[in-house]
Amino acid sequence: MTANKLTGVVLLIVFGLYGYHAAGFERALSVDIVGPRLFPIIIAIIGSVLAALLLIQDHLKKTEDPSTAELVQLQFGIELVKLVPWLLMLGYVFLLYLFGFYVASFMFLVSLGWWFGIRSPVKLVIYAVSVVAVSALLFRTALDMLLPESTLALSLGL
Amino acid sequence: MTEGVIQPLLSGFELAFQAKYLVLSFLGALFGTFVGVIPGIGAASAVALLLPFVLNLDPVGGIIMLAACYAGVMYGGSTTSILLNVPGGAFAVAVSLDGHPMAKLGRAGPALCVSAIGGYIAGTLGLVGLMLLGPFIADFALRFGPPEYLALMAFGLTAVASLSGRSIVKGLLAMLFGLAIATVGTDLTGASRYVFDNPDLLDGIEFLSVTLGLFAISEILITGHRARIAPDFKIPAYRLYITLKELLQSLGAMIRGAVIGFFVGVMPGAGATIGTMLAYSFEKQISRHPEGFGKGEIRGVAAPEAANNAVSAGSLVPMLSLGIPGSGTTAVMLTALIALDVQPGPLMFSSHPDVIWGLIAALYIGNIMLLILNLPLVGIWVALLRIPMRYVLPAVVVISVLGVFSVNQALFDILLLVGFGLVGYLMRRNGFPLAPVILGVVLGGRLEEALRQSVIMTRGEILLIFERPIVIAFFCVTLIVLFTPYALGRLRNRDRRTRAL
Repeated sequence: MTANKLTGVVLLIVFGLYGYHAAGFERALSVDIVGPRLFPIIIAIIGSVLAALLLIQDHLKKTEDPSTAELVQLQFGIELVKLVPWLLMLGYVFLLYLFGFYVASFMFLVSLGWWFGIRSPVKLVIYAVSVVAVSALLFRTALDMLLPESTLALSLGL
Repeated sequence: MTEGVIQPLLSGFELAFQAKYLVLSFLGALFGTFVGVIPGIGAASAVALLLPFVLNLDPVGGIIMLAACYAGVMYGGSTTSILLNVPGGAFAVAVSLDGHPMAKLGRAGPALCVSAIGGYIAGTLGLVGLMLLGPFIADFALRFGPPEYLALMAFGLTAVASLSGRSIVKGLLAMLFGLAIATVGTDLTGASRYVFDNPDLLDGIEFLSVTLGLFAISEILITGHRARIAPDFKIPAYRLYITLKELLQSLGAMIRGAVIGFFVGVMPGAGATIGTMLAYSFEKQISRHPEGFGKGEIRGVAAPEAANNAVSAGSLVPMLSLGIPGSGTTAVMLTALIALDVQPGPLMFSSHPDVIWGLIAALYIGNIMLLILNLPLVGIWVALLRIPMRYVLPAVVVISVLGVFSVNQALFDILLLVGFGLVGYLMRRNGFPLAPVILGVVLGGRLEEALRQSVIMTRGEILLIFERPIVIAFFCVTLIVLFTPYALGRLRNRDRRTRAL
């Protein structure tokens, strides 16, 4: 299966579910003659037609889509290496929940910096501390904006 | 008409050249440029941040500073778009489509120069438009009812979707994906949609999470891999300034972008995002080499950047002449004017001529100031590229996270940012354009509102909107835009086949 075919099938399912879910929307106001369903259902119908068109186009092309090889690579995990920074970002969000901006950002910068090739621990620490300090100064002090706080500390009453 | 313009304009210049106003204009432009560089703050917030200071000034000084700040944010937002593919806001997405590829080719300097010069030219043209055509255009824009807005937005969305990638189908699917994202949350009547019992979704998906996720985070995933393989990997910077040839090449695009941007800016609610995207799509449509767009075409930077700045001048037309703010930023400016005891509206030209003409003159000066300020800054911004990417990329994540968090103070928005980063990465790997998603998200709510109002106006007979000439004109252009690339492709294939035979 080519990447386009796989995308077409996934989108057909997504737009189908999107439209199916829209059919269940109830009006919040009885006087509302349009209702909350109309717009999402239009999107779902056009989206499903286009997803089917993507499948048909791919089928008519007959030639092997060049991205097939890339998809195979993805399946075998070679591409997954590129997604390690994404996993670290996901971890960063949970660290923000737990420890708040300062600790979470420090840990994230150290780990992503190391992954990108900064191997000296001293450089890593100086780099992480500087970025955290500059961002906090800019957003908190200069622009008077709030920084993410630790929900752990809040729940412990700290 | 000219006499009626020149005399008050000269008085305006006399006023604006006072040292106090020159300093305020400079400070506003400087503040705006730096805030514009930071993703997430946006023009409306930047102007709002200045309010406490501005409310202590006289009305002329206050509005001059706010307008200079607005223009500065528009320019600053494009800088990180070009250098790092991190748009300062949705309005800067179109600039990144060719601006960042230019930077990757070592032409960040020329891209920033064309952005500064384009901004200056468009800002100046926009002000001429504001001065001469403003009242007439505002009157015309008032004829736009919901069906006309529906047609305008359908045109904008289709034009961008069909022209921003190699495949029209993928472009349209990306646009629909954006529209679908816009339906999440509570609708106009209070009905919840796609909320799945999650209170964080009740207000919808924050569009900055989508913009920065799709562009900045996906870029980090792609560039990050290169930074890991080659530890000293940097984006090259061969040349700092633009050549005369490049400037002449992009001059036409700047003027066309400025005209499109100005007219879009005049229409309340249309906004900078649609203006920049339309200018980009138009430039690609009329280009002899549309295949070069998306790969570092200088006209792909000049047109949207010019449109971006012209939108700010255009959006002042309905605000000053009708008292109707066309965007969030002009709404904040309107609040400031009212707080300064100036009531914008049809009588403003006669009741506060000093404010109007002082503002127009100060904006001319502000444009020159932005150019003087930004051309030397090109060297400083490009110097940022000399820092190895392994140091830049993690910092970009932290700044993006804070930018997103600053909007609603919700950690959930950061989770969405990361999620959309993965979606953006997968979309780019599969050849889906990202710009139509952003336009879909930005315009989705307004498109649905226009559709609803049109259905109500026609009592369910929606086809009745085709009795309105402006609607017919927009839909005809939409069909042309949608099918021209397909028809041209067929013609090219036939030509190739004939030649092969």
